[in-house]
Amino acid sequence: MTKQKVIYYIRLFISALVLICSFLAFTTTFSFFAKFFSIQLGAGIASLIAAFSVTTLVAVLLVLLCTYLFGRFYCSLICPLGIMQDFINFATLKKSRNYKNFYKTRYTIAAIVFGALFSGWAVGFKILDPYTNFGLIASSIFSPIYNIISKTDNYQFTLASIAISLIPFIILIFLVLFRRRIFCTAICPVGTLLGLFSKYGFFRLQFTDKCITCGACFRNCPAGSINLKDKIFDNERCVRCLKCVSVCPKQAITYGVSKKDKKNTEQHFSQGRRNFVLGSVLVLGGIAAGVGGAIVRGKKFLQDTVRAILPPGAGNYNRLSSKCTSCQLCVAVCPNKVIHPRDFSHSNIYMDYSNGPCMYSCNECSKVCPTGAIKKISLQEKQHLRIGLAKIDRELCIACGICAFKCPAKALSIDEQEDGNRILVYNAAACIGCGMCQVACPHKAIEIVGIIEQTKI
Amino acid sequence: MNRRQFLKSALFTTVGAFLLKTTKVIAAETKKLIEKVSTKKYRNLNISAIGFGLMRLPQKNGEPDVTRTQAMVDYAMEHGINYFDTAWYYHGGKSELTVGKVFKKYPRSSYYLADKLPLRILGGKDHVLQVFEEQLKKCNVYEQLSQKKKEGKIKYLGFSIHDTPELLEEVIKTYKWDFVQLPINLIDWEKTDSSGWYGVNAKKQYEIATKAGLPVVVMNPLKGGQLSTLNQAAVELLKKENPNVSPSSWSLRYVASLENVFVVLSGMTEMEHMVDNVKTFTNFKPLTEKEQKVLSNAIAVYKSSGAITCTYCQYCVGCPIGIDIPKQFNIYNEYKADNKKDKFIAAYESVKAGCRAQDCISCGICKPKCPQKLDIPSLMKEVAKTYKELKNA
Repeated sequence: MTKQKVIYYIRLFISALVLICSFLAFTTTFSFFAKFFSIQLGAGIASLIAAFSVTTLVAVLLVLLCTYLFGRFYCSLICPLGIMQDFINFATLKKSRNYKNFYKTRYTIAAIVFGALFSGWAVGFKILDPYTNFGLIASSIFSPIYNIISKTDNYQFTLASIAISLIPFIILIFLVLFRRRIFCTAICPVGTLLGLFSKYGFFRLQFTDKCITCGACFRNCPAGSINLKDKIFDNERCVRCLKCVSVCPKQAITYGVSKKDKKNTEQHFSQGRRNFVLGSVLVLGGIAAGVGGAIVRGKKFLQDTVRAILPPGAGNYNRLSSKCTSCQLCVAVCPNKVIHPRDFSHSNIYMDYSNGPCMYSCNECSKVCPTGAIKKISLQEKQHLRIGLAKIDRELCIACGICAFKCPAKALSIDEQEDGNRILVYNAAACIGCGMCQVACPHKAIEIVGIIEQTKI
Repeated sequence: MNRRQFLKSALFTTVGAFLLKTTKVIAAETKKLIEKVSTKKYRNLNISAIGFGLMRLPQKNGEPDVTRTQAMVDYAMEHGINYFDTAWYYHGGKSELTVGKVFKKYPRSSYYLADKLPLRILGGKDHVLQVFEEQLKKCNVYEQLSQKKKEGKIKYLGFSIHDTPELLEEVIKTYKWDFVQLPINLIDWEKTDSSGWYGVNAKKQYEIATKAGLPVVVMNPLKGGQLSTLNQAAVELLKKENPNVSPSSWSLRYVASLENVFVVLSGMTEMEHMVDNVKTFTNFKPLTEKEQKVLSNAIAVYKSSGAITCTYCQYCVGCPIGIDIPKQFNIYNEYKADNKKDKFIAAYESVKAGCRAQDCISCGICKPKCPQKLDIPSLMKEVAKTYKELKNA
């Protein structure tokens, strides 16, 4: 086995490991793996806007710097959706033709998505972010399968949530069969951003004089980044899968500092002033469309106050629906399965206490949320954050006191009156809406209702 | 220039100057002719008997409309109103800012401004006596304020209070004050009567202040506008006695007739309110005994209609369920005033579903915030019940 093949298999091994860990994070409750997702670039950028933190900024900048130096290794080593596409491609044994450079499409999409994101609307990420889509697919399709195999009831899936997740999965399989990694090079906004950083990157793949123009690399490249005629790579699209390196019979592809070769520095893939102007117009138009969309949405749809029980740290409904990309990681890690995936009647994740309360000593969802839609709050903050209020049906209540016994916030108590009557006293000022009372009540006299804004108490 | 031209231009200049002078004199005379509102003496100050409360300013896009406020303040200053009252909380903090803009053009010595500290922000929102006492001590409010008084930054130190006579007495006893601001109106004059009205016993509070020698600034004389609309039967009674004056003028004159009251604050939203109030206080005449009886009768008639004594002050905002409490009560009170069933149902249903009276979960978070001590959850149930009955009828 050649040195090149060994390197390729090492890359495959690492990728497979990452993919397995990602699946475990979404299908089981090992929140250890979930924390791994904070290095996801798309989620990281969204989180900078939703809940800025220096750590996230450093992580994002580090990924971008490494991309400039080494290329889009991110797409083949870290991005679970990218690795999954490789896997689908391998499993279907489909070899597709090379394809052209869809740079207009990707610039326009990225401009719209980032324009909307920076204006406070993560809709583009909800639909196109690779990590979000992986989350949807893994948690809604593979998690039920895992549950059936392991005979555990680990996940609150419904037919609706599965159906919603099937859509991106089917589209993805279709795209892979059609043109392999075309999602990464023509659609994915995160990929486009990485491409811009790697376009003039430092270390590149290059042909040496040993090349006999057999075309093996060209046929195997999933990203369509090889120009066989001029013998150059489009570093903007190359995802560093290293397939070309491993299939080259003459070991004619090397990885190193880009030579000051005229051929390499020249723009062979999107050359000319005309294309540059067109590209700029598309980008500016895309940004305008994204920003405009976010503003119109803000004016038209976010005026209403919506009442909802949301994971502690989400703030209010409008904030959550602007920042959450529906990756479902919180759904996966919630130990009591209180957070439910979005379905046809809920456009976001939602909370439901019918199976259990939001546990007083748990803030897992806030720990793992990679986009900052659920703010990172400490356990103490969570225990003093009201996310709902109890509505007590006095006609059903028999003042048995079970709720008062269970209430962790000491908001409920039983008052014995002089005439011997017992009544349930509710001190709403202390209530955090965890749902313990609703679950405990044997007469279904208590229901937790949503509030319009989570408030510190 | 020959002599003729010289004479001609000299003549024109003289005539022009004379005309100009006359116009100015006439203008000045006209200005003098504007009748000023009556004043009352507080220490050595002459204060207009009516003050402009800045809690219900005209609004534009949810913020005080500076242009319209300016017009009203100009009119007020022109007519001799020189007492203005604001607070940190009014208009979500925007009232004080508006004051800053609107009063820029007047010298500071030409008006008196009363402002209030936000005790609720200073720490705790409980109404309990001890907490209040502790707050005063803990935040060092009184000591610091009296220090400011010595420095000359505060001319007179008073306090505004919506609470029980007992607490009023306690506060008066504990510290030395120059004046006190009390909510006084005929609805609140007597303590809770049999019809279930939640009066704050203004009469007793007034007597306590008078006994302590504290001059009184009256706030809330119209109960948030309720006394200017009343209901049809009550208005008819008043009109029968004097068809030329508004219901508000009756109630304003009632409180201004109290001997120990030196200024009556009235929150005015429209220019009409300002014009009407200025009219009431120009050549002010106290209510005669007969008039007092007529007014008491009218108020009794109004009280029996069952309206809620909410003054729409907005202190209760922040209902976690999203119910606009004052709006719900306003809809109900309008129904109690005009008895128009369809209008009530339409108004009730115009509120977003999920934020109506029937959605109240009786959590009671609003209750401690209400200066009128209303039992908001039970009243909310009453509104919802009325709607249900009318709808099914």
